[in-house]
Amino acid sequence: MTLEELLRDLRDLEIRLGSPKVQNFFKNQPEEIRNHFVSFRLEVRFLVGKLTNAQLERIANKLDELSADLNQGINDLRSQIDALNDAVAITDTLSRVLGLAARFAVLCSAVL
Amino acid sequence: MMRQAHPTVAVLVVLAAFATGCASTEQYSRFAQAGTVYAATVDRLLVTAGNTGIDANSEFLLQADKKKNLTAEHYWKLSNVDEERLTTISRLRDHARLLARYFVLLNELATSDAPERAQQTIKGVAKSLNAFGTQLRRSKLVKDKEAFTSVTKLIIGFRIRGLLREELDKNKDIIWAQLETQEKLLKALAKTIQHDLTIISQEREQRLVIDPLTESAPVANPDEWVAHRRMVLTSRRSVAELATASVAARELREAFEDLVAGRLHLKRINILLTDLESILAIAEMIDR
Repeated sequence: MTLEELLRDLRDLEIRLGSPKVQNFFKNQPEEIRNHFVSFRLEVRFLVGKLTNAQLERIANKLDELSADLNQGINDLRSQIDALNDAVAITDTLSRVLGLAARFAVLCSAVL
Repeated sequence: MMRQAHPTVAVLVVLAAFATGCASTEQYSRFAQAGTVYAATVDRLLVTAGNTGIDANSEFLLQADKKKNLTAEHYWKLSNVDEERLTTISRLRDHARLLARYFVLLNELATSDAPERAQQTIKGVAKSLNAFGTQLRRSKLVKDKEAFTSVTKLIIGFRIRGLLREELDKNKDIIWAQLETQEKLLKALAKTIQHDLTIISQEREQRLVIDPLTESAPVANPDEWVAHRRMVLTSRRSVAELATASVAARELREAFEDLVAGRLHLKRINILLTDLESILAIAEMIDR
């Protein structure tokens, strides 16, 4: 039986134990039986909680394993965006340098 | 004019041929947006799962205390379970934020205005080159400035598509593994919340509706009793509606597979976004 199957069965059981029909039945029982019933329900509540936590923790552990690769993917994207912006910035600088060079050329030809 | 147009046309034809079968930047952008909304939805459901878990235990303890005098030990047994869950949820929220960061950057690359900025700066370069040429040789170096700047914009645009394609080829297995695991998380969260809501509904119905009604004395506050009964019965609708969460998780993974194959339809993304929005609305209603 897998964790998921066990969790599913325990959850079904818990819902049946909490149904109005079952709760009202035990409400009218002697104190000792009522106490046993409550203890049993508490135990089931506890087990459902623990198994749910185990399921979520397993997923968190899997995501931990994958996070290094995802971080690398994020760094790759940042580098590509930066490179793209740098290329545009370089072109912008080139434009300004050429603009200055052209003005310099004008000045030189005027002098000559 | 025709002789000068030919090289430009040839470049465009080659680039167009290259681009056939590849996803457009719009497809990448829309997928990335869906991924961001998905990560936000997972985050919201994680918060909801923490709250409903705590409330389910609270309601259970209240009802159990009516039938059997509970001790501090009983309280701590369930409270420790809540604390453990909150710790794991915090870890899972960190992962959701990391995934969101990836999608935000993917969208940033896909919607980069670099082509437009490059077009503007290249105009400046062309102008400067022509000023240079006029001074040096009495002729312009860049004869067809319009074609020069248009091709530049196209080249940068295709470069971005190339980068997106490279990114996908390099990291598709990583993203697929992430989405597959996130799908399992979303399914687990939906089932957890559904179950806890059912427990809360059962215990509240017993505490607020059935017990007051079945006691020997009449219901003390009828209007309040009516409101409680309505709250209990309508809350069960949220339980059923959460089933769409599992569907949304699968839809995102399938959309990613389509993006990789270059066949993503934007309609698919729109349907996914609608599903994610309704899940967010349900989560907000539950937490109210």
